[in-house]
Amino acid sequence: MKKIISFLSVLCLLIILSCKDLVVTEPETNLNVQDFEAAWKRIQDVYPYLEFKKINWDSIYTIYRPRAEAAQGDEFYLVLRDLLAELKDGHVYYRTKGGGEVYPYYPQRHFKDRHAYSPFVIRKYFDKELRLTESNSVEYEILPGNIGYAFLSDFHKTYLIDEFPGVLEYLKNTRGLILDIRQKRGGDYQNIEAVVTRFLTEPLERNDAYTYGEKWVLPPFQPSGPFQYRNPVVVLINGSTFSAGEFTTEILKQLPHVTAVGDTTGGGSVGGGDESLYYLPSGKSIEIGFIDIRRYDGLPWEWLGVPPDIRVEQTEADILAGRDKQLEYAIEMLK
Amino acid sequence: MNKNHFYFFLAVLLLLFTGSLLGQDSLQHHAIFPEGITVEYGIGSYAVTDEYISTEKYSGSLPYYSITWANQHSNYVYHLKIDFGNSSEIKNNNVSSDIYQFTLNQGFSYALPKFTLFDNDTYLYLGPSTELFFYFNEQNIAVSGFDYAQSFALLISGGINSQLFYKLWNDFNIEGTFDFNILSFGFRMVDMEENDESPAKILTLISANNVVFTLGPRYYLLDNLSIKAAYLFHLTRIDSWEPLLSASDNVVFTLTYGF
Repeated sequence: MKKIISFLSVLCLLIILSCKDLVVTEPETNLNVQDFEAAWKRIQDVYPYLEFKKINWDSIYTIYRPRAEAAQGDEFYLVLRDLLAELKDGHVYYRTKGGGEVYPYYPQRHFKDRHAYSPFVIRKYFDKELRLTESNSVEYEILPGNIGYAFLSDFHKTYLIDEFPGVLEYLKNTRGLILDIRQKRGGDYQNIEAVVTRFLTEPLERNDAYTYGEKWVLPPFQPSGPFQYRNPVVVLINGSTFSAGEFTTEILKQLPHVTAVGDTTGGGSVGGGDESLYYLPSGKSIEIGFIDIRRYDGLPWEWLGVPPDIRVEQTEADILAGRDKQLEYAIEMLK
Repeated sequence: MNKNHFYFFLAVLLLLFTGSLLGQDSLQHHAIFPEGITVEYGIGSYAVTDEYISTEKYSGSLPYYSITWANQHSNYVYHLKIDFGNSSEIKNNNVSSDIYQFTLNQGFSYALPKFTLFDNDTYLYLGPSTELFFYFNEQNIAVSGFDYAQSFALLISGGINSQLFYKLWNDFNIEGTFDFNILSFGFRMVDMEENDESPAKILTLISANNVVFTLGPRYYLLDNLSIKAAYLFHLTRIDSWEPLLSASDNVVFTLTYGF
């Protein structure tokens, strides 16, 4: 019995000692206030739409600084989330120390339209399987009636620079073309240019852009590629079209043979690319764009979005019923 | 090869595979290794620092469930074990995380010669094991979109398992186990956007450890039915990417039914 008691005592001791706490310890430093100061100042210094959105960033400081001081440990993520959400900007996010991205805000039009599109419903309008580019960035095919269709899913890397010429080559003899950029988020300027310049028949002035208030001076867009697509084009957009998708739409809308059909885009026009990422003292980071890009009417499409030329509303109920009314409208236009 | 040679070689092969020599204590301790089905439930105190999320320590209670199949073969015991733990209450101050842990382990245990310790028979088993260990962490912070701070790790490992049985009385043992990985194929969430670090790597003892230690008494209610209460310590350390360090102290209750 003595042995058992001794043994049980050892077991109890192990549990009381809580070995886990000897192995996993608390961090030595807490940089929450420093992180807050750095984030607040970065936004004040570079974010271009504080005035446009009528945000008093100094008053934000007085509210959030005490919250940052009171935050213990990872409670600071809650402060950071709320601070960034004040910008109501779909481009803005924070990243955990390892790189996990968390967006505190999504445009409301995106929530409205996120289920108002389905690639499965799209397929019902084709009599053959859609083709897919090597990077899966574009799916395309010719609809009955010799109408070309291309869904642009990704404006990142050099996907469209590399693959859009092949897509357009396949679709070049169609009587009209549908460019579907619904459900499209961000991407790179070079890919936008690679698409829009294939539809130009003459140089096109660029829309205005500003970095820290200074206007960009760039030469006009020039037609590019072995041929220009001159037949009628319909660009399909909705509330989930965002950033690079909106940028592409806004440029293409300036062309006489292009019509934007669908619903107003999400509304995110701040840019900055890789330099938008800003590291806080603790190793967390925030994405804060600093380039103010404007529509051709001089307004940013931030919040405002890019409106369609012809509004065709579509809901999740339409998709559930197996119909894509926006696509049907585009097909009718091009017949 | 004539018939005599064939029978001679067959005899040698049989001797080699039986694994024990004449006059040696038997290496087959049929009664001591708890064969059959074992179910376990544990309540654990868990702590983790997952630097993919932050350097902060999260801790809380992580229940533990496990089922094991063990079967005595001629000179080894084969065992297959699945365990699972989940809690959404692993906290750092007022921020919580959902933690999931899952392990699938199979191993072979070979008996070493019996020895005496403090006047009692002691049996030691040792053998190789393979293991799949999965860890998932999702921070519970409400956001307006669809993105959450989350992290995962996966280890596919080869390692060593060992069991010690200290026979106090006929129906009462003290048992200890110590399992650890040696070489692993590891996967971890990485920052695909900002660097080119591979999400998959070969990991050695220096870069990854997955260690389980248990110690507790077993009491045989019947010949084929036993209960056990044990202390279980589980340590996971992965250093090759953003470091992950987790540890748990558990009290585990076990029921074993042998066929």
